[in-house]
Amino acid sequence: MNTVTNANPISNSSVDYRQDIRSFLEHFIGEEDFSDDDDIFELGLVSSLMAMQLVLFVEKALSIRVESEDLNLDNFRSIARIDAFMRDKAAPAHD
Amino acid sequence: MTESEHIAHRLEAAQLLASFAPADIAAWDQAESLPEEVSMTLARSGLLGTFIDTGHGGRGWDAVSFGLLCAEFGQASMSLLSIVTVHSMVMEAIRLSGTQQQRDEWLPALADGSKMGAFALTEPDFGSDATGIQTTLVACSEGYRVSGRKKWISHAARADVLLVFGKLEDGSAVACLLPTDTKGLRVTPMRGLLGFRAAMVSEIEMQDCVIPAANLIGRKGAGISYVAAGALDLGRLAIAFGCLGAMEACVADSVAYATKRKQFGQALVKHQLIQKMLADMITSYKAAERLCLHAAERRTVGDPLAAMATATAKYFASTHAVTVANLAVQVHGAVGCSAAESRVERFYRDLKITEIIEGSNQMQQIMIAQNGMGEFVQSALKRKRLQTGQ
Ligand SMILES: Cc1cc2nc3c(=O)[nH]c(=O)nc-3n(C[C@H](O)[C@H](O)[C@H](O)COP(=O)(O)OP(=O)(O)OC[C@H]3O[C@@H](n4cnc5c(N)ncnc54)[C@H](O)[C@@H]3O)c2cc1C
Repeated sequence: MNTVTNANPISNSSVDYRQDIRSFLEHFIGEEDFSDDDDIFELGLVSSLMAMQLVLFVEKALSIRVESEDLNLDNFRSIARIDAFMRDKAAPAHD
Repeated sequence: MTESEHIAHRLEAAQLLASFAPADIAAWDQAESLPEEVSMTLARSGLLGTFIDTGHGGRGWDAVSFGLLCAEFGQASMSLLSIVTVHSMVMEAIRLSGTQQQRDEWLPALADGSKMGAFALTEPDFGSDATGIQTTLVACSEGYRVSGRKKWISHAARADVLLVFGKLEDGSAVACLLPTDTKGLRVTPMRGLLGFRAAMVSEIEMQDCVIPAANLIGRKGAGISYVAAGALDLGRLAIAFGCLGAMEACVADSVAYATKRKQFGQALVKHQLIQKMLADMITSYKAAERLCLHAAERRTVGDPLAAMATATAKYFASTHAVTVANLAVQVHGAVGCSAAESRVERFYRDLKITEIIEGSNQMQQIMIAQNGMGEFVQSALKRKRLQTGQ
């Protein structure tokens, strides 16, 4: 399985979303072991609804709208990447 | 939104649809097209962009109100419902994946019906396997040249703009808006279809159709996984509720007919085997209604799992609608086999289509299984933890 490195290691927000993201993904992926860096789209168990569901998850968790320029699937490939993306998006609220 | 608002919205849709005579609705189906004045009535009704926010010319209705509107359309005519569905899918794609500028530019005209949209994903060689589509977008000085073929595209023969899915030269999937008056575009209505006959389903040929780069909707590469997926999610909600409306019509007609028609000295409805059919129809309707409302409610609150609830509702409602229409024809006997004598003949044909569109039911089964398995693994784990006290 491919792993993807954190797109944004220097995060803007100190809040760690990894556990929340993992709990959300476990709804779909169940018991299978996967690390924060695993490419969830390559896990083979996620359905074609996953991209939409992840965007909605982020929107709901942060009460923001994910704009079209951010709708890059690479932002949603792994727990680490989603976490980095969320920290980046949450940052203005924490300034 | 409150329950009384939902009821008021439903009534508004019912009033519009009551303005079409049942005999006319049957005639459009037989003629395999919709008169232009009906399209104009629909466009001017103010009911084509209800779920779009008021700032973009819509009504700001929630998903329950939108669903109930779809149920009213389905109850009257599945062809009309499919027109509303694909038009809504185009708006939904722009709402979800468009930039602020694109939303400002396109949504008001679509929401007020002055422009009608159609959704062009399927190709002769690629249906369920949508990621294989072969329509190409080649960059040029004016923007992009779009070439390829689309097939089975509802309402394309009347639409003003098509949401076309294709691939860039690097193979990444994209969506784009293609006005139907673009040079190089040919739209040919398809005749002799089993259902949705008044929806003007068409075949499309695009030969070097030039669009500005500003007509690309969503990011490059997200064409299928996000733009189409988001639009299809709303399409499934529309079809699920449309099936619900059609089921309601089938049950209502069957009860009325079985009460009136006498055989063996008594009304059909007194025969227990007819009651069994009615019981199954009513039960299917009630169960589908709960799944549809649940999906709409989840969508209204922005639940990330709403799409899963919608896929489940579409799968259940379409499968059961086919069964209900089958039973409705059975209750009507020969009368149920005649377009001149019953509506259920048309519903029987139309509802079969709902098992194939917006992702066939096999695609729903795959999504529901893949997406739903984890939930049960998790609940089993939680139960185990409770039992072991950990
Ligand atoms: C009346 C009508 C209106 C339509 N309107 C539109 C429209 O507006 N826009 C648009 O883009 N398309 C539209 N379509 C096309 C529709 O979306 C496709 O028909 C649908 O996606 C299925 O594709 P297909 O017909 O090519 O079937 P195929 O993909 O060839 O599938 C044939 C059968 O095999 C099954 N199957 C395929 N793959 C698998 C698998 N992996 N596992 C198990 N079973 C599988 C399918 O479920 C189906 O039963 C319309 C179709 C109809 C009939």
